[in-house]
Amino acid sequence: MGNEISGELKTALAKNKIDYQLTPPHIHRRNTAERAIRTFKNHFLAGLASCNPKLSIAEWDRLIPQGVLTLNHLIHSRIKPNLSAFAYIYGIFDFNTTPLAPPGTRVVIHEKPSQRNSLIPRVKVPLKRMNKTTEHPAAHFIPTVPFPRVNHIYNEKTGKRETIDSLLNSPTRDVWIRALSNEWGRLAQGNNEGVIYQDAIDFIAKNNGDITYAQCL
Amino acid sequence: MHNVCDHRPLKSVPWRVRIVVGGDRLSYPDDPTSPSCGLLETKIILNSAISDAKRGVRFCTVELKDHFLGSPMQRLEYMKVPFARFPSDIVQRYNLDALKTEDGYIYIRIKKGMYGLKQAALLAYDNIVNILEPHGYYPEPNTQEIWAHKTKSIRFCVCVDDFSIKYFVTIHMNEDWSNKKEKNVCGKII
Repeated sequence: MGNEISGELKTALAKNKIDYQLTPPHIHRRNTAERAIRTFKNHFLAGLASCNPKLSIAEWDRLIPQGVLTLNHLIHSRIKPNLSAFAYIYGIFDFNTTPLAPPGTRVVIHEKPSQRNSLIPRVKVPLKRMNKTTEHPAAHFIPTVPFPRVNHIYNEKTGKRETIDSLLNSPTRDVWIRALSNEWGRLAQGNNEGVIYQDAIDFIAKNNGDITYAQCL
Repeated sequence: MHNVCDHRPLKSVPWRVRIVVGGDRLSYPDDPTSPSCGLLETKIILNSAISDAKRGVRFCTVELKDHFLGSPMQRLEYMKVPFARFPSDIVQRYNLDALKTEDGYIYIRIKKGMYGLKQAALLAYDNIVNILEPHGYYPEPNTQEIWAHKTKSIRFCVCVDDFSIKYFVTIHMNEDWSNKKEKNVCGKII
């Protein structure tokens, strides 16, 4: 930290046995935080340079979580150098559960027969953003993946993220149906899974006399 | 209404769906803004705790689980949701087939604060005030969101449902913040 900290803070740090280092003014290379910023920027820009050219550069911020994740895997923990920084904080990362791919990789999504005409291609090609641990199984080149993952898939035509409807029609629909059931149960008066409910909503009939005004959402 | 889906692998339930009300399409006649602490109040509490370290101060953070959904709402709101958005077990449990309209919607009465409502933050704040004031807590004058206790040496700042609490006596803390009644009123304290 900077060399202008107060005497009280120094005393408090010493009393609580917290190690600290003071850096001389105007010399950033002696400041650990500044050095860490430089390392992250180099790493992140390298990942950004490897993105598919069709990925909108305006979406760069969505790649930050994966940049943080991969960088923390590459650097060692200072407290326990035999572990990565990620492993020291969060534990072992399961690459089987959440495989990683280069950021901004171009993928294909299988379109169901009910959602396309018979003579158009069987897949659509959106742009995928790979962040922290996510990837859509239907968009993966390997058709059988062991665990369901959320989609952070952007439609190439609309530029929008895929919706709950596409999740409910994906190979992992059972997981998302249960998640949706839990959410409705949490808001209402429970569901068959025994979720803790908050009784925030009631399902009512339209003609129960309560509704005076409704707007389509 | 909008469904927000996410995968949070470090949470107990990794696959999450949150139903968010389209508050931008609902009107609210009053001012929905609510007091909320900023970085200044947070730093004041932290610096105060550091300065009182030699006096044996303690510091903890508290989060109220599902606090938004536990905030009662006087002015009810309504929304309609396409019938196809309901899983089959919810349809059976609440007999939604009987409630379905001809154009395929289910009407819903919102009784408590929900994500997306304009007034949700204000409801959450009012709920916290109603819970804390009977226990002797009051907002410090001339501050945005720093609270203190009339007799106990406890001070905290609150941002919606996250508390940063500075205290001296553990018994005081346990008396007020581990109460089962509070858990029922404002959700589970974690």
